[in-house]
Amino acid sequence: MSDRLRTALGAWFPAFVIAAAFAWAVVSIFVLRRKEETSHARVTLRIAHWQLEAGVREAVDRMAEEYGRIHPDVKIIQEAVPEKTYAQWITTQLMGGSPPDIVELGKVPYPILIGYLARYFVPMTPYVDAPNPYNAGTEMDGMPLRKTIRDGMRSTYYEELQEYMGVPLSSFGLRIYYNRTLLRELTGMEMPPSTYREFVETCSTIASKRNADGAPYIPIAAASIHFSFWESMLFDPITFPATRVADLNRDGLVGGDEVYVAMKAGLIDFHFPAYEARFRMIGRVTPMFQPGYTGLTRDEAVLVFAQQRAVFITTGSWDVYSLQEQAGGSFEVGIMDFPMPSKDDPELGRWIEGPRYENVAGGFTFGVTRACPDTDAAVDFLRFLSSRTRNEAMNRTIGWIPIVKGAPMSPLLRAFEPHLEGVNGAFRVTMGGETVIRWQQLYTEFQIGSRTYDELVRDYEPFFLNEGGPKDYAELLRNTRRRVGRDELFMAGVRSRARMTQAGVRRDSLWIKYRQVVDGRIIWRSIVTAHMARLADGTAIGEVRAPYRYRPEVLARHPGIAKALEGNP
Amino acid sequence: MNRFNQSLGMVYVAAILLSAPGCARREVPDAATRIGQAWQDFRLSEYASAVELFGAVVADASAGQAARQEALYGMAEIWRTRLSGTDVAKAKTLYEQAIGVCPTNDIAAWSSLAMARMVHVGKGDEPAGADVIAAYEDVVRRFPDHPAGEEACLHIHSVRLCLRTSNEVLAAKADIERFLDERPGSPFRSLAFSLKAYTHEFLGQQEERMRALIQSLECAERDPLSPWSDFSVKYWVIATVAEFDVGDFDVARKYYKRLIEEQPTDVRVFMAKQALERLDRITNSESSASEGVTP
Repeated sequence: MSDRLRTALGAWFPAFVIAAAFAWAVVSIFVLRRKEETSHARVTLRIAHWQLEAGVREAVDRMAEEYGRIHPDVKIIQEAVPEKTYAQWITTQLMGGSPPDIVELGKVPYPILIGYLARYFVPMTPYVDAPNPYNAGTEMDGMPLRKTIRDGMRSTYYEELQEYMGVPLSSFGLRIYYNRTLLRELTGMEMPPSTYREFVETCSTIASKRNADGAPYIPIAAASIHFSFWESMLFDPITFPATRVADLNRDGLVGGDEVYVAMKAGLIDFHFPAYEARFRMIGRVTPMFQPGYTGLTRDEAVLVFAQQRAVFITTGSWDVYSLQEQAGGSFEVGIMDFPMPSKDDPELGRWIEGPRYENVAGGFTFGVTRACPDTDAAVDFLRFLSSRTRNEAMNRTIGWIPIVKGAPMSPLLRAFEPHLEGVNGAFRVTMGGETVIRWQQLYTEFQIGSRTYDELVRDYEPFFLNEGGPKDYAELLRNTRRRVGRDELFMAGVRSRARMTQAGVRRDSLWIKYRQVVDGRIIWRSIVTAHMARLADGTAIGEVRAPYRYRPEVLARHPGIAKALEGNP
Repeated sequence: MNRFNQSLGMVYVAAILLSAPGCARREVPDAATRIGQAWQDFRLSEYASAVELFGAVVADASAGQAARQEALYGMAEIWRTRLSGTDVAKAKTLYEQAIGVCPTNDIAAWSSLAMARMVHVGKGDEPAGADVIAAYEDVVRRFPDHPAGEEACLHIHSVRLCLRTSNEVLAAKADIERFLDERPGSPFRSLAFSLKAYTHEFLGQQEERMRALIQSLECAERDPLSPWSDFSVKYWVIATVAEFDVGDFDVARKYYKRLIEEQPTDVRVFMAKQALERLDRITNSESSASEGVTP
């Protein structure tokens, strides 16, 4: 090549490369756009979630396809993001202004979620009272959307915003899974135990058996995470009677601060019989757990169950199919409810008043982002997914519990039918950092049998009442006052909207929201907090009484009370 | 190559000249638009942007007094309520400036209440006392018929009830009853009745307490746009007060049943059903006793 030609090529080479790259970009964009244009979609909606479990993506794709047949001008694209990165991913998307149109809500801390919902999401409130058009022709024809959902969409109503912000598509529950094959082999039982006493005896029988290697069978596969499931579902309900003494704010529920104040006021103590009964139950059941469970992870417990070295394990409805996969056809998996003590149980019957109350909270909840180019289409797709027949079909594919009322569950999931009437536990003895740490230290020792309940009480009670408890309670009161700042900010926002809105129903609604916040959050919270603080430090004026005990004048007026209460709650 | 560079330079100049029309002077939004945007930014926690927009309205001589007052009030609200970087001194100055524009209108009323709230909230862990009450009383005196004045009344009651001494509770009771007598149309009546119930509880007047709770429920506001009107806690409190504190089992039954019917999946339904069974047992026991029959 001549020097002149070489020089010319060298001078023009950069320009040639740029021109070639530009030409390639033009051609590839042109070709891709042609492909998109052939889909005929007027709008493309992206739906994002973190559920990588088996069946979820398949179910959403099927629903998207079916929806596309009804609405060929709408295309739904699914984006499944790993759970571990979902929070960072969705934050980036929202802040970057290019979020998906329909987003599964969650995985960020609650205060941050509230901020995201206020800024980036469309309230669902205008849609919840309208009928779901996809329920036409069913028994839910004409029914407002929220009344077709098992929890009335309560789980998607955010008090801080006074709005519904999402649509739930599934519900979840906790139960005990069991190896039906092994249960039959070791105990001869075809049906699982139905009462607490029977369950403990069955576990004892299982523990006495040896496998082929000579190792004992483990009645209950368990890890540290599982203990809280057993607590909430089996051990705590027996403490419900304490509600009658400790529900000082008369809302029907008992919080850690109320137990603390009730103890300080002398209304209850750690030797309340129902509390002692709880710990006797723990002392009987936890020895049946996998040895060393307090230091084990979930996977270690599941392995023991899958290897048929244990008969029982507790987990949620989200694990139905994965546990069946683990069983791999080697054994049959059954699901049972937590076995409560029967009323005639000689030891515990007098304390157990009902099953554990299960609040049917919706999950797998989706909201619509403000960036969505067609909010009506996005909401319509959510209505489609939450309609009677499609919600049932979608959840059947996934193996989850439908959120729509009356939607049948697969036979395996029927055991998860929630107890909509029942009791809540009333044993809460931590309020903050000091009490949580000390309690966990002593409680763990009790769980592994190296401390009796009396020893636990001996060492924790003085700390709870006189050392860590007062510190935590004081911090709790300070936090209550700090919350006033957030409430003032919220009120300023609502007030500004109300003042700027034209007269009419919308403005009336805003002013009512404003007054409800003044009422419940500002005024009543300060009064109740002040009153509880006086009860706690002993400066309360007037009689300190249990909230649900008849006054003497009522007893005098109704002599039938004493007789009616004999042996009854 | 020189010719290429010259051509490229001409292309650049042409591009600049062609884009000049796009740089034509943009219209500045009017004050109302800027105020609306500022409030929107405030609600989205975009404080810097909100302050800038409000500030621009304040500085704009053509904006008019009403807009200027609104902007001053808006800035004050931001400095008072923002979660980080609160500046109550700055907020106070701005509220005073807003009041100075027109001392008797809606914004003046809300600004005055906000200043009283700053005195109250500024007490921190210290109990609110006479100085806080005086701040609210000033709002009531200047704006007796404005919602801000009514709200200030209720804050006074709340301060007295938090102190929970006989004198303060009696004073609060008298004030609340006067409020209810003098303001039959106030949207705060439900709250006032519930505060009245609290005073009766303190004074051991259980029947009056129950009646006040019922009156509070009967005038409770229902948001026309929110389908969620959950009165389950109100029903529960009335029913349990009726049963345990008054002994009026008819009222108790009525409200236990309302709870069960209106909120069938509420956590209190189990206890309400237990209560109805209990009341039946009591009534049967008393009936049998009066007939001389052992049940």
